[in-house]
Amino acid sequence: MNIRLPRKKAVDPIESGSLSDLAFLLIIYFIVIAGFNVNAGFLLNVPAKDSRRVVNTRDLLKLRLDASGAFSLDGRQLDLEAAELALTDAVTAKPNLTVLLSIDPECPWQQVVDAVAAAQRSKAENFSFRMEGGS
Amino acid sequence: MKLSRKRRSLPQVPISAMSDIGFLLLIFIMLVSLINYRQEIKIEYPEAASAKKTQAERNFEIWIDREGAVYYSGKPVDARELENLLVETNLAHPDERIHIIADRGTPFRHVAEVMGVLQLLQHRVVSLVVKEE
Repeated sequence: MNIRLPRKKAVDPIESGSLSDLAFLLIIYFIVIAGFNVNAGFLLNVPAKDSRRVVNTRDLLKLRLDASGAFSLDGRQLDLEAAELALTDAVTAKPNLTVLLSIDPECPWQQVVDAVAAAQRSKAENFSFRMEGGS
Repeated sequence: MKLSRKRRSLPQVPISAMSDIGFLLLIFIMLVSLINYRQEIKIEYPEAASAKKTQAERNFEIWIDREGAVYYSGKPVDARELENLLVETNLAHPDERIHIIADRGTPFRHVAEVMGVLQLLQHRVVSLVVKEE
C-alpha cells in the first residue's frame, strides 16, 4: 500500500531571499574597504637635527647611491644585488658595522627604498642615509 | 443548510519593499564611508618585498608627488604649513605616526626636505610607505 503523507508547505513569513544577497554584498564591500587604508613599509628612527654620533672608522661602511640608482663602494660600481651582498658580508665580518649611505639629490625614491630594504635584509644594525651636499 | 467555514488566512507583514530599502541603505553606507575616506594623491607607489605593516591607531600621512609637491589631506602644503600642522598634531596626539608616501620617481631631495622638517621637530619614528611586491 502506498501511503502518502501530506506535505506541509513551508511558510516563510518574512521573504528573506534578497536579504542574504544584500548581506553578502555588504560583507564584500567592508572587506574591500578595510584593506584600502593599511599602510605598509619601513619604520625608521629619525635622529634629531645636528645630532652627532661617534663611530669607529673601522666600523664604518660608506656607500654612495648616484642619480641613476647605481651604488658605489670604495670606487667600485655595484648594482643592488652586489651591494646587498657586500653589505651582508661586511655585517657578518663586523657586527657593529655602521652603514652610511650618501644619496644623490636627484636619485629616484624607488632606488632609495630598494637601498633601505637591502640594508634591512642584510641586518645592518646601524644604518643611516643622508643627501649628498645636504647638512 | 450547508454552512461553509471561511478559512482564516495567516496574518502577513507586507515586506516586498524590504529589498529596496536594503539596497538604498547599502548605497547610503557606501557614500558615508567614502566621505571619511582619505584623500589620495595620484602617485605611483615604490615597491618592496620586505615591507611590514606600519599603520598605527592614528596616522599622519604626508604625500609627495613626482614633481615634489607636498600634500596633506589632499591639499598642497608648503614647508611652513607642514611644520605648523605637525606641531598641532604632535600637541594633540603625541602618539600619531608619521607616514611619508612618495612617488617612486620623486627625486630624493624632495623627500629629504620633508625629513628635514621632521628632524627639526624631533619626530623619532617615521614610516616610509611602499607597496608590497
